Amino acid sequence: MEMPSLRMSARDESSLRDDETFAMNKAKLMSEPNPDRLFFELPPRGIAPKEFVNTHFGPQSGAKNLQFRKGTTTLAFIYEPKTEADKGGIIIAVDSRASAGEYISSKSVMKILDISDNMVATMAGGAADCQFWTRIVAKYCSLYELREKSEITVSAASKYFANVLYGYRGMGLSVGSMVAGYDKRGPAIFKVDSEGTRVSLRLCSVGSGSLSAYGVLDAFYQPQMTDEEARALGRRAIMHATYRDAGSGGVCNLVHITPTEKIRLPSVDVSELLYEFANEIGRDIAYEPQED
Amino acid sequence: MSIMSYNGGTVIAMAGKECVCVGSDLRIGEQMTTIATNQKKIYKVADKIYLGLGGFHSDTQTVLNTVQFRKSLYELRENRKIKPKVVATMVSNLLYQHRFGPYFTEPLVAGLDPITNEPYICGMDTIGCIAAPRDFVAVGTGQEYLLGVCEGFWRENMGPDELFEATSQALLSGLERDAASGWGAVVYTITKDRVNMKTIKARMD
Amino acid sequence: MTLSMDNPMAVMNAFKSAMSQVRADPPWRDAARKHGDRWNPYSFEGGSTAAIAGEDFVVVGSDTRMSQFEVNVMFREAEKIHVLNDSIILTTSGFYGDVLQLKRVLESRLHKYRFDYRTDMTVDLCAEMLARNLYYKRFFPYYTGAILAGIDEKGRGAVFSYDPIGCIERLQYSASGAAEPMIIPFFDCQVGQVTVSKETEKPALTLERAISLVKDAFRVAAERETSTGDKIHLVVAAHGKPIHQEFLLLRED
Repeated sequence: MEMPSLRMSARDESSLRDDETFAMNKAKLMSEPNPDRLFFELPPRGIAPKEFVNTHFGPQSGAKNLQFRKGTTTLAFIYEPKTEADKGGIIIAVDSRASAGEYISSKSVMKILDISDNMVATMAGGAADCQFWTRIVAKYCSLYELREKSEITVSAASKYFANVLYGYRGMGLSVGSMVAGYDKRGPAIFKVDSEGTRVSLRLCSVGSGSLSAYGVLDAFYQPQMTDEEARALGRRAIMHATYRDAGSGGVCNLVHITPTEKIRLPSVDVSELLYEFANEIGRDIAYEPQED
Repeated sequence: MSIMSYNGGTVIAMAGKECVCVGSDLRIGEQMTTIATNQKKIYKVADKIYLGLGGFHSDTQTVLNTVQFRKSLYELRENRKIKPKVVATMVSNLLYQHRFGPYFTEPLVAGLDPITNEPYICGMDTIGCIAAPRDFVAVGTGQEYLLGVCEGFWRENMGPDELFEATSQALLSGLERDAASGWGAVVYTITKDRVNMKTIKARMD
Repeated sequence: MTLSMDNPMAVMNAFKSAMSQVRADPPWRDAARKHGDRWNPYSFEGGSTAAIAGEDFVVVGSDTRMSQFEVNVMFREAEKIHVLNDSIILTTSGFYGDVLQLKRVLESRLHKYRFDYRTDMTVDLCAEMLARNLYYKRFFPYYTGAILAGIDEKGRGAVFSYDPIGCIERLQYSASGAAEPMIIPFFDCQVGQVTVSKETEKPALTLERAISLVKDAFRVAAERETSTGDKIHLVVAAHGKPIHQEFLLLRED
């Protein structure tokens, strides 16, 4: 398996002649690095990148508006169709908030990223880390398909993903992703994270609001559901998570992967979902101000 | 996460012509978890004087109790109604008494003078440095977000309705970007005859 | 010196000095870490930038102040908006050295693209490229909050917002820099119209309105934020028209 390898930029600089350094810098400036050998510049003088980045961009640093975007609730589950009319498959539901500390830096992030025609990855943890590495995995999958003339399995794609992340362990990457899709073996969800975890699950949630989402999923999940029920369950779990967790919010994006196709459903505002829910169960959530 | 944003919450006050508006969100949390969504941060001190308290919840309650006690004592001793400026000084003194172990709360006083009905608003830091501008003040986790919008909305000599609209719009816009406050808002419009309390429907995430 | 309990003051003083020494230089910090903690390659030159995209136009604004430690004004005419080609505008706040390097990298890539393909790069492609280039420095990031704006292939206005390591998102409006927390809620209210109910009729976003909103945003920011001020640099790109630039005066205090 080809792996993007690290090349230390600080390592060899001293041993180069001036004109060589110049040529190297010029090449760096003029063209994109060879994507097979991903080129990451490291802080000089052997400073550990994780600590360095944390010192200058972390919550304790002065860079209040330059913190990396994070915070999330994502969930996915596999279900069997209940009736003939239903398709079954995988539901992937996510929120859309990106926060830097308490500041909500975006309300409309798409946290379900495409990997191939019938596979997606969700995004939790560092937003940039997820976006970039998911792209690398997507590229690997396309090349695999072209080379092997058959579709890659979710298992293989997630394994490649996990291996790449494991190769960067200790460098401070923050990824908590679910790779979900339908392949020749059927539906599959793999939870992959930046510490190197890779587990196959049928019901899974990741992110700061995952506990609330698990609460709803565990209470209402059934192995056999209609498509409508399954989609409503995904949305409801996200809605309850966004209500309790300040790190999640915005709209609920939902993808339904059936054995034949991948359906991206329109986003629904979680705030409106909550008001609908309160209406449905007849709970009055309006606050009445009292004279004190 | 600092102690000032442990519970979250934002309070805003705006001054108009013979009226003031004071609004707050309704969330109380423990770091990123929302505990309740019915906790207003505005408290009545006197008939037309309200105290808004942002910051650490347990300290806000202590400060509130102490201020209410001192205000009652003041009115009994002086036998006259307290002025908003006096309330502000009282709060400021209380906070400065704890200069080297401060209450983790940023108070805001908004109200009308009991006799002249002149509007008064002021905000202060955790150790009681009063800032009493003529336009608007904001305290709490959403302070920065609010100040920008308020600057765009505030006009000279606004009437009660216009002032309510400006305050609500500013508050809602500010809550939009602050993860630590929101989940509904309440706005009090204080005019010389009455205090109008209104809940605003807000995003619940 | 031997310490005994006969002289409690000396014991106390010795204890205090040992404590302060440990606090200043804890033994668990190895040499590399001590060095790394001290070495700071970044500085922050303040200032803010903002952009709004419309149906067939995009308005980009920034202030022109360059300050140090949020107190000293170093320069009042710093350019923070860089017009890269006829349809791409880069605007960045943060460490000016990184801003210039980033601009140089993008410019040379665009140059090479023009050389290779005999056509200008579109803003969509440039946006993806910028995201990747930011991420290539994931472990030694550019200290910048970048916004890329322009007119896309279909003639629509486009604004792309980034975090320092290249999390990319296409938005209708964006801001970055010291006054971002003030400008963004203002845009949420005026452009995003999040505070009015769905039934209310909303004013359309025309070019004139977008320009005046950007101006207002910087007036607001200059009023309340110390490192923003001096001048507004306004760049307007509209479909089928050349890029128009102007400078407007702002508070200088």
